[in-house]
Amino acid sequence: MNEQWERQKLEIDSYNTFYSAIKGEITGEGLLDLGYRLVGRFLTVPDLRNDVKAKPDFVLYDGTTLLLVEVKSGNNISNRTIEQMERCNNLSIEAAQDFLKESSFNSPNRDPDDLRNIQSCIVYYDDNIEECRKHESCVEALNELEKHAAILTQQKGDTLQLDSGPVVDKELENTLSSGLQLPEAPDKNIYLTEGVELECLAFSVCHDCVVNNMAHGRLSLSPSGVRERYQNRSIPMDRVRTVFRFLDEIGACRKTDNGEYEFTHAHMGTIVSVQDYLADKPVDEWIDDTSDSQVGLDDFI
Amino acid sequence: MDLDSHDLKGEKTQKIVSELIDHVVKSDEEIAVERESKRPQTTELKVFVAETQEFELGTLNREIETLSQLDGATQHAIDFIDEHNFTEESLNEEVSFVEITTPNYKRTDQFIFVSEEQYLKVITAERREWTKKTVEKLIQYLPCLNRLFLSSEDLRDIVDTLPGTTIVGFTAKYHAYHTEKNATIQFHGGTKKDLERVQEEFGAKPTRLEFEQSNSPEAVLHSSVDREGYFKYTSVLQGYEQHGRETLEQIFEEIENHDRQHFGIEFVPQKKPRGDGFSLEGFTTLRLLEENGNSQRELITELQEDILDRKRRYEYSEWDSGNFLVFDKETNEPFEIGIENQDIVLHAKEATSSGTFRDFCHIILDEFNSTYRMEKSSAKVNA
Repeated sequence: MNEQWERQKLEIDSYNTFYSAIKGEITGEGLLDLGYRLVGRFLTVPDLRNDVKAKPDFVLYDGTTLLLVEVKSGNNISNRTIEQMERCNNLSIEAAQDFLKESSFNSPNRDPDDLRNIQSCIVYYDDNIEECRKHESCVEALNELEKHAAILTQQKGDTLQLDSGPVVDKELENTLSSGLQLPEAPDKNIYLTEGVELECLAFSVCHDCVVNNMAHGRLSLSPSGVRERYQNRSIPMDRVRTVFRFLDEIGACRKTDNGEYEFTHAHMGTIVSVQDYLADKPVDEWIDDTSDSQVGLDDFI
Repeated sequence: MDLDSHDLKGEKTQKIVSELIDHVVKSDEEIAVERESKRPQTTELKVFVAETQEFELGTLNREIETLSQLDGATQHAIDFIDEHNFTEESLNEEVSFVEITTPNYKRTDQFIFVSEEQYLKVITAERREWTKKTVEKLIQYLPCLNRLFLSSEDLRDIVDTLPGTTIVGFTAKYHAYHTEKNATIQFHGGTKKDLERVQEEFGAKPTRLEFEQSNSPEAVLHSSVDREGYFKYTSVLQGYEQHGRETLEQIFEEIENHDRQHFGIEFVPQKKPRGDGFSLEGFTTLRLLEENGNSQRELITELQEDILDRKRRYEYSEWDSGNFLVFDKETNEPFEIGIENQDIVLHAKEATSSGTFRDFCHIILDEFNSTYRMEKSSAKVNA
């Protein structure tokens, strides 16, 4: 079993599980129904006056409250995490308004000028918080963390729930206190982890770029073309090339003479099942096994 | 059917449809004789409804040629094209006159194609035996056409919405992956009460509803609607031709509304760049709901074995227990399945269109479990 992929999978799951709480997949009641709309993922909210930059995983806005949500799949509460939430909490209202105005977010009845509250939230898997409460040092860190953010727990098939910490919006507080029902199998809309490791990048290329562009039964992609699709993430070119070599290696595509990679019907079985290969061993190892015979001049061009 | 396209050329759509309705206009006496003889009626007007995906009237032969050269075209499709000749003549902007010739049988079948917005209606008075061999195959094979599929609840709804209707017969079916029981009940002369009883006793749901429409007290129209994007007129009482055409238009509208309600994909999780990150536009989720299924584990196993493994059109992998990432090789589109207790939940991906959802639901209701109810939700998330 490839532990790197297992860890990435847990992270991908954590984002998608939280995203399903926005949609309200099960009961039809989600953050969406409370009036929150998704401003975006991976956005930077700068506050020049206070010299801070917040980089939450999700930003949502309901017309009064800006929700800054950090989603964690691991179980440690580091000083870095506490500082991260502190930065979110220290944003000034003016900076948040400016950010909204400049973000191209445009939603009826959700005027950036009406923004009154900034609400930081951090979401953990519920068993991680449960475990944390058994250890004194972890409880201390948790107490520190809840000074800066509301701590929420989530679990597939269970609920998104308020654990501790302050929630300004009363309606949101009520909903989160009683818990938002989460699906057992949230659908995947987010494929990349924060670190954009090779495995999740390979998964994303298959399930984002390839399967959604097969209208003509075949598709040609080049590493640089794929990189353009991730224009807002800084992904090293080398990493994209490695992913293509991996896909070629497992028979998920065919390298053509002009350096592009071709995907046809015959490859779709492998494309869709790419995670089975990733679960088997890391991308590097797939390539290393064959690197002697596979490396050619065009891999360096 | 013996239509002369010259007579219809340039006419308004209403007039052309009226010409077709004339094929089933019958007098009181004729209707009474037919009813008593219990023989199959001489002529019936049939309508097949399909969703069009980039299909335009006037391009039928080009579409057929494209199909013949398509990588994924099946041998059945190629044989069908080889064994038939197709002609299309435009009658007005939204209507074409189409003839399909079968040289081996020295036979030509005639059809009127009416295309409005994203739906195509094929109207004909040819015998069903021949529509099955010709135009229904054409709809099945052309990738730009996707024949509609309605739920049992839709059929009930459509008949209930039309004024003055009475159910006079039905076919109802029951089968489910978790039981050996299997029922097909055809009830001629069956009423709404009979249907309800069949539903309660056997769990059978209607796949076809036969109804009469009255203009009190006289029955002026005899028709039936079928789940498979198909309905027919058996008779229209003489003097009520205009009423017949208006009802036809109403049925079109009802069918299309129900189709959009279930399979219309209004929002997809398209990633839109925003600031230095991105946002997701929205979602469409279609749930197949079941009140009394068996264990979730059994549902997951059976769905995998009976449908995903057995149907060669699907490639899939399991992300987690009961969570499948699927690619449909016939529509070339992905979608995702999540099992939630007894329910099957379908999630649209960026490229998923209604045809992929429709076909999957058709397969599930037809071959896996006839008792699911469909419920869709679709919303914008980023604004």
